[in-house]
Amino acid sequence: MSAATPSPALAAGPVGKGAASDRPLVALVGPPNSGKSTLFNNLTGLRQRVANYPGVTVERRAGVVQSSAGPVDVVDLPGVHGLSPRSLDQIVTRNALLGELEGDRRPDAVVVVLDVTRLDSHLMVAEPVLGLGLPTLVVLTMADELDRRDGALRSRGLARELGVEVALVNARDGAALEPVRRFLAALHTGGDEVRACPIVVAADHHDDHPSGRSLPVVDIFAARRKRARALGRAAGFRAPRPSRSTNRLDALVLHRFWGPLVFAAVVALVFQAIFAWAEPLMDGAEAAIATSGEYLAGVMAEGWFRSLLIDGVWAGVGSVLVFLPQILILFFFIAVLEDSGYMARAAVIADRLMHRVGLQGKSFLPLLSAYACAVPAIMSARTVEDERDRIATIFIAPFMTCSARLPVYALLIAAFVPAGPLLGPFLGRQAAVLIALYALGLTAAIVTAAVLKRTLLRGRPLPFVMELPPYRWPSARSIAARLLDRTKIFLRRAGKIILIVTVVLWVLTQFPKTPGGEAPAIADSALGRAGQVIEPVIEPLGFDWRIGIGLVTSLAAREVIVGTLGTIYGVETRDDPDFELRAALQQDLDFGAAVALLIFFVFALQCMSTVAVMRRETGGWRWPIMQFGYMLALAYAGAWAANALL
Amino acid sequence: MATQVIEPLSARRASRGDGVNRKQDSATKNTDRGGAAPPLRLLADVPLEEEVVLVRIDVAGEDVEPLLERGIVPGCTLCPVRHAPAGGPTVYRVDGSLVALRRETASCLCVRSALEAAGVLDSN
Repeated sequence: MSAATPSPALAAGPVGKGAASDRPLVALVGPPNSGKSTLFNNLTGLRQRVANYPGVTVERRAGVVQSSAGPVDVVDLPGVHGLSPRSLDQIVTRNALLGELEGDRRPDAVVVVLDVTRLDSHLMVAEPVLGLGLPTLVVLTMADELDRRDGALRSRGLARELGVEVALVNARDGAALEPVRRFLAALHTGGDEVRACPIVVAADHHDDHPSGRSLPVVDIFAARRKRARALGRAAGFRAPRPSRSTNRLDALVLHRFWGPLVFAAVVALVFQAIFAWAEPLMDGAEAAIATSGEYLAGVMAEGWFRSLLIDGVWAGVGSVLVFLPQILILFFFIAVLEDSGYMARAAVIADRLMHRVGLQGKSFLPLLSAYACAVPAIMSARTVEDERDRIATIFIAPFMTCSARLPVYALLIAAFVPAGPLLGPFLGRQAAVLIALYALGLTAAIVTAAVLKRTLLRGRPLPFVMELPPYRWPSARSIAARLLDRTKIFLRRAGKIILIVTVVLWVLTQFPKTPGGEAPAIADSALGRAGQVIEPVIEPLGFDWRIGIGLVTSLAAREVIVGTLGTIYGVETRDDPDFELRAALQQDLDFGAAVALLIFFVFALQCMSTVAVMRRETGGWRWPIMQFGYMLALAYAGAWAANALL
Repeated sequence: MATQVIEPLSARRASRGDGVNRKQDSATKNTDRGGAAPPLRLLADVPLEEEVVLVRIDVAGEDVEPLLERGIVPGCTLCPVRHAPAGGPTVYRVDGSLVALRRETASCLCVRSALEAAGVLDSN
């Protein structure tokens, strides 16, 4: 590979002409944790998840970058370790680069993003990409770390060896964008920077071997490693010494005694924060919504529209919006844990358990993110290479307590569990109940996975390889971007699904009109009657028709039940200005029924988005239908038992 | 670079038992020198902080790719740095990266000590 001779025949001129869009398309490629997503974020200003452990960037993210010579389409491909069509991530990346992705054109150029502190192994990843013959810019990130840890590299030397532009940068630094911008501009002007790698890499993938025979995959990689090291040597690469801070932190975090303790402390801290610390914020949000509602009610003329807006929308959407601070705190912690590098260590600590269940260690990462939301979790399960493990992971992901359950838990816990300390200042009683609910979901997931892996999904496990990225300070910018993203998604959901459901519900509470033309008492309304039809089914669980309506509407998304109950009780008590959902529930549910409702929400798969993404990811209805039925049966049985026993 | 003993895929499954035998060899401190390769050990048996060179991967078929793609390739340097608690995976330094492997995976990797590997190079 060191026999790199510039080949003018391969040097590309202006590209992107004649494509579907006038703008050149550039793909960002690189291994996970190479700083690729950070670079993409800074380039496009688009919001995107940036994390510090493998398997986060699963979806294709694209944006338009204004270069000095014109706009360029940039797409951020999933972080991969190779291009062999083994995991879904790699298939997506490979097909995108070959232009075989549906609805996508072939990129006109690639930006290969590599972590310079791991140059040897990352050059191995880069080789098949360079071999595609597309105009390439190689961006080496973590230049500061290389320096700090006494490594060295002559980037010009590497550029000469590879025959393409090489930029050595710090991905987080604004200055890192300059070489990329120049490269993008050169795509328009046909500048010197735009060159394809002149090295014709041996067609070494086993599928494409010219002899038609498979070359042992180990040989391919051994040869690739040799070439990568030769390249590094020729460019004066001196590998950095191991990071001292990472080593010191790992000594604590993976310590036989302290490690699990740190793990438990982190989990407790997160739960305590989303419950105790979120409270003042939530009180504030609640007050703001109530005050604005009152203000609107005051300035608007009495009539059906005011009733719709105040009793329907404000009460319904408002009661869900209150939970925004709590959800943001959860996502804040997840973002910090991911970006700092701790999440991968947590996966290592938890691997014993995962192994006993019969799952791959990698399943831990999607399952952990399922605590935020099952939808991205199911999609990120693509990084689990073993197909059976992937299905099992997807199947149990919705048992993890997602953020949409939080509003329901929070409402019921606040209404039925008295506040007070349980373990001194460290753990309150309400937080303890919350942890118990999380644990219940986790237990169900573990048992389900164990059963699945011993029955429907039995098979020989793949080797477990987990990369531990160096610890890094999470960047405030990336975390802020993710929180903003979450807020937007949550508001969109509140604004769309919840708004529609609340409005429909409100309409159903208004008919049939009483003989005097008034809205009916809620029990006599269309909604009330529909609820009474369901009531016999849910009565054994201790629920009345109001909860029944909530259960039905929450099929769209779990948190909708809070809005629904807000609307139902809001309409019911419309003359009472001091209406509080909490108090209304306390009157309506006894303790056993409240616990039953909590348990129902722990188990039931009330989320159409999850079902939809399940169908997409498993390629059929079989798994989602099984999952929905199984979880519903579990929920019903659990709720029934709770109500009967308590 | 270390001499690489790479076997065709078909032979790899059969060689599992072989690895175990060699492990016993190393246990009896077989220091056979003079051109012959030093004894192979299993990565799982390497004590913390000892640098070794990967010689062979005894994992069947395509299953080997996740290892290869993360730089665990014959010829690479491996060094166990830390055991996770409660018999969990062990963290290895692999050419500058940190990678965690379960014991059963580490038992499929045949290695020789980096010093011995260097010796082999010298004798060649």
